[in-house]
Amino acid sequence: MTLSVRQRIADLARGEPDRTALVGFDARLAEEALSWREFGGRVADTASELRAAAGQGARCCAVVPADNTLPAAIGIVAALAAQVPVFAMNPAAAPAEQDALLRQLGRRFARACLMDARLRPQRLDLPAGPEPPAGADADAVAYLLATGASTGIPKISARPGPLRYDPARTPSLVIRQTGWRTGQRTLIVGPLYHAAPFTAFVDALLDHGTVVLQPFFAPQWTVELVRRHAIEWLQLTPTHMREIAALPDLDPASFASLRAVLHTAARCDAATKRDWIALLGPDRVYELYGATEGIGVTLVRGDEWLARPGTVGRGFITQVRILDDAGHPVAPGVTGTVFMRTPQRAVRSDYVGEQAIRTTRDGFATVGDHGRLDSGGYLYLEPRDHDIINVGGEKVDPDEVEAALREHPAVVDAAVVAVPHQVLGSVVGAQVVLRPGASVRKAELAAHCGRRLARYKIPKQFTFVDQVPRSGAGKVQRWRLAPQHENGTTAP
Amino acid sequence: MNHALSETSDAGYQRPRDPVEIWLARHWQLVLGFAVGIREDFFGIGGNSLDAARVLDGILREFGVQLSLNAVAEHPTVEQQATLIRDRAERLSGPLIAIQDGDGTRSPLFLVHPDHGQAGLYCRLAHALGEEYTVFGIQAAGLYSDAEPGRTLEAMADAYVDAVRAERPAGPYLLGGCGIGAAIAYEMAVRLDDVRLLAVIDAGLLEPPDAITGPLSEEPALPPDLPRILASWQERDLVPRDAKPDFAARSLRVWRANQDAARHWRPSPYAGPVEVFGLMPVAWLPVTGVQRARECGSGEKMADALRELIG
Repeated sequence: MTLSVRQRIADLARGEPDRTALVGFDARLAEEALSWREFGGRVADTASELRAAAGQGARCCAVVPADNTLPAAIGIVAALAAQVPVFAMNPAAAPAEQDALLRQLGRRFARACLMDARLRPQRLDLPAGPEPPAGADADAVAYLLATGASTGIPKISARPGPLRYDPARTPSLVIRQTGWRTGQRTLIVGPLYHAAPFTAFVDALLDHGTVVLQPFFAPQWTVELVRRHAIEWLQLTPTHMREIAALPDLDPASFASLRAVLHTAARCDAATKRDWIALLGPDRVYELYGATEGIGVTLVRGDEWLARPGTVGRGFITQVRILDDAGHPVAPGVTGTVFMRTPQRAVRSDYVGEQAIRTTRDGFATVGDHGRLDSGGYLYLEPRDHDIINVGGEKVDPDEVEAALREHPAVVDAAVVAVPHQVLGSVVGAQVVLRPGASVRKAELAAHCGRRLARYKIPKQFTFVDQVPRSGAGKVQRWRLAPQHENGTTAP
Repeated sequence: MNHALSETSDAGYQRPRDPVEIWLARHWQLVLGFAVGIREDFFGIGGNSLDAARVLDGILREFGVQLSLNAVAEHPTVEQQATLIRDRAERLSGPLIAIQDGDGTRSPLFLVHPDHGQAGLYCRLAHALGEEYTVFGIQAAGLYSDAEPGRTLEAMADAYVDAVRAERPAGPYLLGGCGIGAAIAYEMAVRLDDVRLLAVIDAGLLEPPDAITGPLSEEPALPPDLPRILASWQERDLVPRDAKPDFAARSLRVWRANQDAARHWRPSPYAGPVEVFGLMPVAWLPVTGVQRARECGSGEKMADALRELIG
């Protein structure tokens, strides 16, 4: 039996009205908690206002500036309850990026309601787009999220709707495998405008949980929130994990309440992965690979990873197939394009924009990632083509160089990009963030890389920077580092 | 949880010890894009065969020595490459020794040798300032040629001012030095117009304490046992392994000349400010001089303070 979001929230608010539903922080970082009674009431009020503003039958969506605050959280849930498609937008996105996203919304929706911090729907004019794609039914969308932050071309991915509470699917079966329990206390660290934090947030609430929203990431604070609120389940990015693991005097006891950490989004370097397995034990560390587009997932637990370092796991209710450029399956161990197929077609989403997922005739789909399977069916990902640096014909994976740089004690973070070179085409350039107060010679960093990497992979250029541009999901935004962007877009 | 202790096998920075090593380190910096010490492996820090060819080309143009690409592979450090061209060191016997090219946007900093006459101890400071800063060392006459060492401080100042003017005909001038180099820089400041900086540097901020006295700390017994003296310097890593005993003889001569010059020096009046890095006050400065203390507990801090002064 499934329930509408409106019904489910109302049931929960009636059932245990005094239980805490949400904990957030205001602008002065004062903690504020909402009981299920309060939360249910505010969701119901906001939903009816939004429904009235959206009008009947109009192709209207809600746009929520999705910082991790109580108003944003209420706005999102209210839109889901009102069955108005909701776009969780990065409030800090550059104006040009926001314009591009709104233009894409304009292709599907006639108008939008902006949910501001006071939760009053404001009319928002969308740039008129071309005719909506055939068969695009606005009501059939539950929510929309921007993807593609690592390529610089924002795309919007739409999740078919309406969203309903389904005891068997809220959260999804794969998430149930990662230590999730009904009614758990969940900390949301990543931004709500990213897929993983967004779905964890919605699922946790609909599954009768208590959700704590961390408004911005600070490693010490995350540890403190886990400890203080006895958090049971946590989804992190490798960047979060790296910074937390680097904290001095990290006490494993702070994580006693945690049943699991799930990490997704970007590839995690081996050193950070091992740190966390050492911190929590292999049974509490899960990694999930699956594009926002939801074509399938792989899952790996810490103990499996220790046995096969580098793997992102096996398909979970997902068939994984590696195809060559001609579309033929390749043998285990051979690299090709990763295609996946899952029977859960209902939750498949496609791009709002013109870009689509490539699909085979028998229903396997890919977002273009490359990888290989071992004989046990474990998937290993290769870096995406557009990130590979070609040094005089030699291929350099920036992730590998970044991981090597981060092993240096003075280095907190690093991003590696191609630097044009007259003869070699390109060489490796590194932007390096040093630990506060640390200093290091560039030659020492080069020598450090030289002890770990083939020589052509050693960065030829080092630039010390205050921070590396990353998406909220932790992926390095290499396009922001590319030379042509040096005087254009600046890192946030 | 952090990797601070896992492995730090960096050889650490070893500064050049003679003009050939200074020249090579600077040339590598030009080719590789960052400063290097003398024991860094050319290929281990990312040098490729194109870079090696550029190094060899530079050596050919500067020293007239044609080395093969194999020479870089077999002599992959500044220290080792220097042995291949050390017999041409006379080419680098002039007072000015370029330490770091810089980006040309600022006036160069001229740093005068201490009592032992060498300028290599300023390399670390040049790198700490940053690769965009242009730095020259001034070395004593008579170390790498048969030229007579300067006999008086005034004569050395005259000669060095000529060399500085030849490099840079007009100011502003940035001068500094440690040991007798501070006194010579002072006399140079008296002679030059538009001196923007006169820095008196405590040698302890430049070198670890056991090396600050350079090759010499006290008058050796007479007659000096040159091979033994040279061996002791080499043991302390102050001079290259392939230095000859006659280098020890020249060094002794320069050191004695500098000691004499310092003893007989009568400072000229100088009205400009003197920036003192290290212990205040400096006893030999004339009382008319304005001494300004620059806080710095380390070479890094000194570089920070110097950057502030240079702008």
